[in-house]
Amino acid sequence: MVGKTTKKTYLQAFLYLLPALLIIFTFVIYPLIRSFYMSFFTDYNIFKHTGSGFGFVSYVKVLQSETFWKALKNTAIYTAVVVPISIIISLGIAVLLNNKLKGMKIFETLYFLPYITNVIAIGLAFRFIFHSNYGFLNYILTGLGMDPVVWLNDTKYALISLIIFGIWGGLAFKIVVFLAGLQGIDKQYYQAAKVDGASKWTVFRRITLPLLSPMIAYITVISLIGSFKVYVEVVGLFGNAGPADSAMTLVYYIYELFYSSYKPVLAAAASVIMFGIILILTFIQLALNKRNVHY
Amino acid sequence: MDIILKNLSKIFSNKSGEETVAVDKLDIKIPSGKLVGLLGPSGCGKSTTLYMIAGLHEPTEGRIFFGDEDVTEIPAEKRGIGLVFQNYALYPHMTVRQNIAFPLQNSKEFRQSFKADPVKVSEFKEKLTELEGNPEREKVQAEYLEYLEQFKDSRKKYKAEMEKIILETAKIVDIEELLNRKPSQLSGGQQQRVAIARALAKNPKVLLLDEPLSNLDARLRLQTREEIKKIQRRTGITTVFVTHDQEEAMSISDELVVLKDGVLQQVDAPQNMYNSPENAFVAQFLGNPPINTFDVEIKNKEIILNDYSLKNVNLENQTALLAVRPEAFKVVNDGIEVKVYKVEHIGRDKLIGFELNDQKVNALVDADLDLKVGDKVDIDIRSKGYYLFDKEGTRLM
Amino acid sequence: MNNIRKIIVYTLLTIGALIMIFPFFWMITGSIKTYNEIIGNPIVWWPKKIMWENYVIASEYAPFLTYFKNTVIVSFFNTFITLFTTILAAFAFSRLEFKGRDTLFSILLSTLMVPSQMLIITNYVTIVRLDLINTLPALIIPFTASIFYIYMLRQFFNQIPHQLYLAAKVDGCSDWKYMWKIMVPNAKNALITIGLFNWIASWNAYIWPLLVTQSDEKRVLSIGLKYFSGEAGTDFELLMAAGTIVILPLLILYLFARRYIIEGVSRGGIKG
Repeated sequence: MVGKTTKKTYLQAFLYLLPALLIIFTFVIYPLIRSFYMSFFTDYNIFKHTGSGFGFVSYVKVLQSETFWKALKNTAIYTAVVVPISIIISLGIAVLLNNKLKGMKIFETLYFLPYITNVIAIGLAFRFIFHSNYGFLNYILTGLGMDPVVWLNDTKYALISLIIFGIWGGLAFKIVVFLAGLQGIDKQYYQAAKVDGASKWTVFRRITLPLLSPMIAYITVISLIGSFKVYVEVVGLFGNAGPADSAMTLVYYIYELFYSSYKPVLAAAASVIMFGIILILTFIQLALNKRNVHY
Repeated sequence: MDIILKNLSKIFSNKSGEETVAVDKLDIKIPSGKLVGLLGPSGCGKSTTLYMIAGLHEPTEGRIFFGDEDVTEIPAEKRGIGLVFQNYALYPHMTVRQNIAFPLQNSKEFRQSFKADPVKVSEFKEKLTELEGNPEREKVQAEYLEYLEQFKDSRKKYKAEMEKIILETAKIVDIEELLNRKPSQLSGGQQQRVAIARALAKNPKVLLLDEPLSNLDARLRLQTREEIKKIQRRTGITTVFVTHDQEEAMSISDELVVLKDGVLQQVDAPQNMYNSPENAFVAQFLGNPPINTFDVEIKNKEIILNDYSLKNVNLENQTALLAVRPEAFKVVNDGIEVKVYKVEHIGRDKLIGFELNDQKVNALVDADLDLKVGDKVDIDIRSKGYYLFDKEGTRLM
Repeated sequence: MNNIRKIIVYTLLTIGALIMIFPFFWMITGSIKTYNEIIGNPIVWWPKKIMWENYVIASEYAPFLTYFKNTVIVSFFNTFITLFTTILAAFAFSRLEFKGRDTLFSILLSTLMVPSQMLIITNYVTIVRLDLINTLPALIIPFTASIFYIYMLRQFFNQIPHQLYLAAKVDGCSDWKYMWKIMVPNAKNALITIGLFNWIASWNAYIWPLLVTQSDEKRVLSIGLKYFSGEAGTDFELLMAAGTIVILPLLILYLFARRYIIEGVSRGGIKG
């Protein structure tokens, strides 16, 4: 009988959900609460679950840490550069791929390749490409008559190298989503716009972009969150946080606190702070989206 | 503005290289200011023809003229046509007002009409430098300033004029209260009227409609087709619409163009075409209930159906196709005996069905006749309303 | 489209594509060059002789075969157990009717926002408590359910007409049977996509394995690669070989299954 929730229905639903809920509760919800709880202690024994010094001490310590601010600055720069640039480039590529020409599918396959790759492994390739003496990039630069750049070992360029690596890896997903969005736009709108005398640029600005805006909004939010959490790329490219920690990111900082410094409380506090920042950024972005997106 | 199609063809080839001839060497003249229906079954090439007139499909062969101008090479955005798509294609993210404004905003001529003509401006400037030191200069100066005055506040005037045109167009199609809504908030009939408004806003030379009634429910269809006729009369724009519904085409068109498999069948005013179909296809396509067809023999100058001699004709002996309109049958006292298997009342007439020559025949007879299912009656064919075609479908008489 | 535009489009796309795949090309060709060829100036595009030895040497440095085996086992179990939990949960959220269903689902969905950094400490402790530290199950279990995949599959299940379910019920079909005999076959594409995503994510996992693995014989490829890169230092040809070992299986998988993967991403994007 549809609609009637009996004890039997509950039991049945419970059984079906049990495996998934068990895992999710144990490894997501419980740790989430615990982490949050933990962050309010000065000292905490994670194995005995006892702590001392309830208060904001850990938060203060984190906010006073120079490394935290450095990491935050780097992460902010990284996000502010990678997100818009990768969106614009991937949008452009998607527009190119949206032509009815032969071989577009093959191109799409090639452009999507970076998505499935292991970041550590391809990071090695990039490490080599960025190499000061033997790298391909410098090979081209010196070939063009310019000076070679110390990409990975110079504090000035480390973050830039990370950004390049980040953009390279971030295009694949966006291209596929934008392409799907573009292909989903009814051809008739383009025909109607043609009949209405619109130039190619007008069509892009007033028809394509607005109709694509839900997708752009979705990508912007995801990209924002993802870029803010950049970590594996750093490990992949540098093995550490870059020369003099010039590529230190927020998540790297958090893991350092846990892996190396064995200060889980600080790590917990820092991760809560990061979560807070991401939430705020997401809400801002969602508010912006609401204004600009046409459904 | 006449529309003239000369030897127009469109051939599509798909991936495996197969070719389909969608439109086959059409030669048509669509007279200026008329409402013309492009009629035919699905796949007959009518939409393709319409899209070629619009400039959205490139002809494989032939030329298209708007009046004296050969527009074949001119792209759609520059042809000055209005097109109402079958699914309306209203921009979903814009309001009705913005939808109608869009073609105006793209029109260079419209924008330019609010700006000073650069040619005239340079003319004035030249004259002014010429007349340096000459007392005449002041007069020219005043003329120049007067000329420029016209274009003061051009931005405001542009907006005002645009709003005026939008309101006027909205009035023609009766959607003034809907201007601030988005397409998703409109019914099918309303969306269609917005689509028409959008097409009319730019004051097109030609208005094209692709199956304008097929998405509407039956009740709306009747209402809307009258509206289309009204709008066309009011604006006087040469209008071509595509449909597969012969009844609707016949009711509002000034002229019909019938197509089959990309080939022109006949061009004529609806009533002429109905009364005088040039081939079997046209005869069978027009009319509801459809015309009744029989295989007959012409022997000894008589039309022989089975053993009945129906009429006398002055033709050679041959096999032929006899087509008789339902209203061309009459009930007589002495004729061919048939048994009635269905009786339907259609207002002024009665539709009866009987079998003749193992075929089911529809006949429209006087409603006053008292007939029931199972009755045996004698029928005959009137002197008008029947046609003979040869094996290929060409009219014999 | 006229020819000039065609040329421009193809040229731009080709340049972009070359940039996209260059690192792969560089890595794979680098893995079979000699050290001198790799650092060679001018560039050596293709090695004179294919140095399969690089792979052998790399494997002597570090037990890549073991890493490979571990990664396959972890990915395999992770994927199939996840599929199982996902199918059951998605079915419950999609077809079963019980009060609070949608609220529960929303709450679970909101956990997607939580950064994994907040969870990792406690999960580590849990694993230690369960005495699973430095074992393969530790790498598998925490990831055998994902609200993201449940959401995806539930969307799919929702598209299968509800009438079918009711008709089956009338025909005496049990829920369990309906789930396996009707819903799963109809959602084949979504399941393949989820399986593939899961496999790829599992294969490329780094952060968690780094934390819970201590001994070499339990390492997976990403971790093994990281340590190897620390040790092999500047032996670029060995590094490239090691990297290729990690990437190649996925490249091959991609070659055969790219349709499902790409479709999965584009569909997800449309749902937004």
